[in-house]
Amino acid sequence: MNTQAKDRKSRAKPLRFRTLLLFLLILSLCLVLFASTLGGRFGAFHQMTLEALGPLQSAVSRVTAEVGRVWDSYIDLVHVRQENVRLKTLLVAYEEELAKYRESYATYLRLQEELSFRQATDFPPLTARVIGRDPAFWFHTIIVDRGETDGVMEGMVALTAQGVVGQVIQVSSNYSKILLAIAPSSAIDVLIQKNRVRGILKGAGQDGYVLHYVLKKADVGRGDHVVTAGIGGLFASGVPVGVVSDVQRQKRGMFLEIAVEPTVDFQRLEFVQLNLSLQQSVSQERIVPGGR
Amino acid sequence: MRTVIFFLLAVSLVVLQTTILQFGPGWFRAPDLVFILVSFIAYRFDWLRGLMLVFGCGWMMDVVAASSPGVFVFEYLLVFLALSVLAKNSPVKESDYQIPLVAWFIT
Repeated sequence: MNTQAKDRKSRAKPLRFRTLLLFLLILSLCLVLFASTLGGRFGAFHQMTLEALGPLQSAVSRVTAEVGRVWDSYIDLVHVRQENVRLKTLLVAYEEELAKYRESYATYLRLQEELSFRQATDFPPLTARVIGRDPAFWFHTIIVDRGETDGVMEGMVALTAQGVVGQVIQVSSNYSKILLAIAPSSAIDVLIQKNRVRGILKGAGQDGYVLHYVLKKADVGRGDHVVTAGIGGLFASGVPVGVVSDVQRQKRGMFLEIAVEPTVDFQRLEFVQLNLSLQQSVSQERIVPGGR
Repeated sequence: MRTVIFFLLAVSLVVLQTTILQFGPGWFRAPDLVFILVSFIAYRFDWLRGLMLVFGCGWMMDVVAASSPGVFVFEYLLVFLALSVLAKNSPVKESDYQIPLVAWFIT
């Protein structure tokens, strides 16, 4: 046992010595190399190495830059897509908002027109909102949200700024039914505004009006304005009713066949003005007998 | 042959280290691949081949990165010497240590 241990020790000593020697040698080599390169000298070998590594670095840099460019393009594309989705959503929201503003503006214009008409009327007006239509008879009657409690009576006239709408035919406490002037059962005494030629305007449903009893010799043409005659006291004179759209001269008969287009758009009615002067006249009639 | 392959690997790592890994974002701390290679060489190669490879790595890094030539050679040689001495005189090479170390590295 002792001899083996001695052998190991005797072999370990030169090994350790050689390792130490090698370490010192390499360390001194490092120091020599380091010292030789101090002062920033960039010798021929350095330059050769750089010339060898330079193309490799250049190639890798170029490929990396290209890959980076492609990647950036892809990222940009993703961003553009996201931006596109965001802008489309924004556009939809703005369009909805714009539609609301348009509607509000249209309402404002309509109400402004109604207000101007109301202020300019020479009768006591009562504004009524159209709350229902009668589609089965092609809009020949409408329902408004005013009734007896508001002073509405049968026979009262309904008007808008555009012209004659119709006449109240049925009344309940809070609602009334108006027969539109274009109903076939409706007839209004009218004048051709330019030459005061009289006639009877009858409703023709969806076709508007037909003007009857105008003699063939009368000077009537397309575009002539038709207004109320004011005969009978129901309508004031000069209220617009329609515009002549067609004139037919038949060989037989005394009268012209005149089609009149209503000035009022009956399909878009929202508000009407009821003429309360009838109620006043009735009240006065009632007061007079009572006063006696 | 292995020395040549590792030399080419060293060239590639130097190029990668000085090109692609420089483009990373600010928060990305690029690993020092050449340093890792030097450590590996110290662990796996004998003195002569190891010194040649490490000297080559240091030389190339000096050329492409150092402001004062010789700094990387000196640094890598010192690291190589220190790790070589440690690796050859420690029991880490034995499988009893290597298996847990590899497992730790993987996890």
